[in-house]
Amino acid sequence: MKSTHIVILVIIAVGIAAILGTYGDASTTVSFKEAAENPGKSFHVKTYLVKEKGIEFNAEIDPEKFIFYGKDGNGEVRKVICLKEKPQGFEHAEEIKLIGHVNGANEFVATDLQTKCPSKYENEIQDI
Amino acid sequence: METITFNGEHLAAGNWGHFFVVLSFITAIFGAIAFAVHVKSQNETHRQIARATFFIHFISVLGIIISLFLIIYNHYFEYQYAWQHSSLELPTHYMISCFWEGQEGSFLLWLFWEAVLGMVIMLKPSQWQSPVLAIVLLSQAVLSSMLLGIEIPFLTDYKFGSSPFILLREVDPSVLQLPVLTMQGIAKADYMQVIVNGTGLNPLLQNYWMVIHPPTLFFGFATTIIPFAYAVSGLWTRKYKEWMKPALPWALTSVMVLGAGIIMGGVWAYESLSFGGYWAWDPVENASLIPWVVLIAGVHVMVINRVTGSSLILSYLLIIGTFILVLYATFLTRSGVLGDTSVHSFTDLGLSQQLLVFLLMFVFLPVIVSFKQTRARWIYFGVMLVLFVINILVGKFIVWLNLLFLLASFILFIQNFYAHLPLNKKEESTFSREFWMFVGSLVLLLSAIQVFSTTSIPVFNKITASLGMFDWLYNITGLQKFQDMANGNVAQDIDVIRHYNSWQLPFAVIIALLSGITQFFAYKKSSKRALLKNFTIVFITSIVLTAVLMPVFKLWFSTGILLILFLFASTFAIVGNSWFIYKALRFKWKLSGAALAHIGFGLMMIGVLVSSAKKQVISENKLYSYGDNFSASENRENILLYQNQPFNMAQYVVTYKGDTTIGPNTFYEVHYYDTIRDQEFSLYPNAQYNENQGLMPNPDTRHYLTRDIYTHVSLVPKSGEGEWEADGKHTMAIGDTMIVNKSLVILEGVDRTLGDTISKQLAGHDLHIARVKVITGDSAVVAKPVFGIKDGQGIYNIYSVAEYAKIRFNYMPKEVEGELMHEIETDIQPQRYIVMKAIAFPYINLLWTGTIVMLLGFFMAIRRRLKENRK
Repeated sequence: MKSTHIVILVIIAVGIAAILGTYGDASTTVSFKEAAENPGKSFHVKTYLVKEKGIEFNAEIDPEKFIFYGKDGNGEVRKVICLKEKPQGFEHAEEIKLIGHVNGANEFVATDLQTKCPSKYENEIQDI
Repeated sequence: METITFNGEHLAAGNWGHFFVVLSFITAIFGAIAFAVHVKSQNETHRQIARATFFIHFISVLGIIISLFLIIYNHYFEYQYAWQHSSLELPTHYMISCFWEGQEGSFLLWLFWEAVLGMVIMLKPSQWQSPVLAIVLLSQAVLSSMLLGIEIPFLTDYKFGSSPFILLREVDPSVLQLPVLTMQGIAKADYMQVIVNGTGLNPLLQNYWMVIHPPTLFFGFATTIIPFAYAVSGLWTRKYKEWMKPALPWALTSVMVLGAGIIMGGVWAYESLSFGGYWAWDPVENASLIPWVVLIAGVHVMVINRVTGSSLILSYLLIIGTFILVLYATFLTRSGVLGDTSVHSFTDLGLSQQLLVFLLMFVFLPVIVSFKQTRARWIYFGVMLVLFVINILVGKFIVWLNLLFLLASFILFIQNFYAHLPLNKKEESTFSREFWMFVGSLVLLLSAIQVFSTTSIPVFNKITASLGMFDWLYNITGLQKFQDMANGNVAQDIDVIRHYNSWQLPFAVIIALLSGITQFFAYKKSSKRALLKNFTIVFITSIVLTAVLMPVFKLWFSTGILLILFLFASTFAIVGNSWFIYKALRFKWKLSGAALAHIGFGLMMIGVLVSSAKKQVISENKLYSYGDNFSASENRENILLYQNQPFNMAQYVVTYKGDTTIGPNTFYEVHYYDTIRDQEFSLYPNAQYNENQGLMPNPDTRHYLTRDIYTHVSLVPKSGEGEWEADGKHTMAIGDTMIVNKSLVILEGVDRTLGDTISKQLAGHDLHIARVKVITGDSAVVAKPVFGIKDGQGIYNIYSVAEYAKIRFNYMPKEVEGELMHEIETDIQPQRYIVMKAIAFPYINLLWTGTIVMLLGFFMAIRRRLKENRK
């Protein structure tokens, strides 16, 4: 067997391991219900801001914590505590992707979040 | 339908632009065919026709650019592109950036660079000209088709391309029905009277790095087609080996430009984005990193082939793979498939299917030409067309069928290869340079595969969700992962940066070690004694140097064994290649390109290691606690600074001094006092407020030779400096107290006579002067708001301000149920504050220095190869 072949075999093995590793380390996008079934375990949850319930935030009390109510794809609404500085376009966010877990008090604790804002194109045509 | 002649529109620019798009599309197709015909016929007339077509194509690409630029420059906001991406306020030097805010403009940029590269090939006659240009023009045809914006008659609802010359009223007819038109009685035909300004360029793009980063990156993307075209031409014209010689300088150019483009993106992120660093493993960043790494592997394999004649198939795969990965990157970032895994990908313009066809076209092209028999080429091409038609008839991509065809194509490609190029059966020595370069290239490839695989999760999700087999696998095995795959619910690792780092660190260690030692091996067979001697010198020097560097960088074994190993490996790469330049090359700089690039790589790696492993969030907030429900690892990285209130942060005392607004940006002055060095400086992080996207902060950084202090605001109150906010009306009796704006306020009494402080002009008026004592901390002042009556009827107020407490008082006597009461109205200036984050990046300058050295190395390598080719 040529040494080149051994190298190629090793490389293929590591390559497969890398692809499996992607799935091994991967998390899951779930709904609130599934996150609540595994309290303490971190998931990705896609939510929408329930504007009527308001956003609780006061930078002078705590600049890195805010609370809102999120609605997931199944329509379930849950209290979300975000341990992050509030993104300033947050009120306008179309979609909020949370990373976090459900705590003992049945609230969703988000340690990270990404907001998707409407493109600047959409609103302004009415404002001209 | 009624036809209206609209006034105030400038349709000529758009018509010309559109004409040039169509012309460039047609000339690209025609030119590609003409060059292809010439490859077969070798007829000089065919060549002349093809060349003339290329010239027209080149001019029409310039025509598109000029038309679009004129539209932006002259503020023709009737065009959607100008309206959406520019505004009257935009400075001229940022107008060029409008080209890459929109997708169409960035395709245009790519089209332009590829046309320029084609021109370079065209001006230098060679036997490769025709096949290479045929392939370049084929890709030009696809690129310009992205700008066509033509509806295909028999396919409803499908638009071919997206034109940058489309009018606002065509995109959104509601501009003709704007309420403001009816209110002001403006006729529809005159709608341009109200479209006076565009919505402006994204503030993040209004940065000098953003003027040079995208063109460089797209230039890099564009260059990858040239080595690809050479490789495919090699197969096409059945000159399986000769293409590499002219392609190598091109591939090196591509490595240099693409590398520069990627790193400029990192600099831009570091200088003007607020994610706190230069690299975040974001899918958009990864998408351009993957082809670059594969191309570097490809260049090494090409060099091996040039010297020894082996590794031919790997050269083909890596060079062809690079361009396909560039197309894949384009597909990833523009089709909307990344969705919410990336913060800065484009949204789908409806081009996703066209992009997928683009990608697959260039995947199948090398397979077609890999058949030696012309008939076999046509048969394969026919099968491919049938598959394409089936997809169209079904109306979507039939994933399993296409995957199967892709797999079969790959096997056929390899098979064809072995058929006309028998393998080198000779045993390779493990004591040869080519062997270790080969190993290193494969490790680079692995590194790319790992990044590819995690970045592609959203694509994999689409694939696994459409294949039925994962539900079945879940039913058999009960593994949750299979169900996630079947549902397409797989998401990136919660801590994706840790995920990437834990894979990439070992790869980087191996690559650094290999790049330090491989040069000392000779091609074919090395002398073991000389090797051992050089190795010993380099090894011992590196160990000593690592031991010296550890305390300098404050890296200990307790920080992580792997990190120390990485430091050693990078040092080893630097020492090894420096020794090589001295010992083997005797400072012959013309030959030192590769060694220099490796030294640069080593420096970069140390810079990355120290600046990320020892990166310190110095604005760590210890004042607050989330409470018992939260773990300590949920650390806080922002502090709240009240104006003029110093705050102790790590070794610094920071004070927020105030802000000034220049244009759209507000600059926040943050004063730093370094208690250890007894130095002071001010940073001016700024932010721009956008109605929809919120606060867009830009950091400001204090650069030292050995460390950077990086600062950005995360949050600021909305009201401006010095604005009064209504606090309330308070009905008080004499002697009552209240708390306003954190100060104690006492109504001491009401005087009826003038004090010294009030002007004599008020003599004779009926005056009621409240005496309001304001106690803030340990200081007290008396405010005297006045309620006056002039000549028995004219009532007026004179307010009084307690400066330090930032309270403004107004006074009004009032009768409540027959009793005299006192109404005090207060306005306050809320205390100004910012929430900010500060990070120290030690030794980040090593990263930038390493980058420059590496780019210089590439440049010298290109010169060397060009010179060799001329011989």
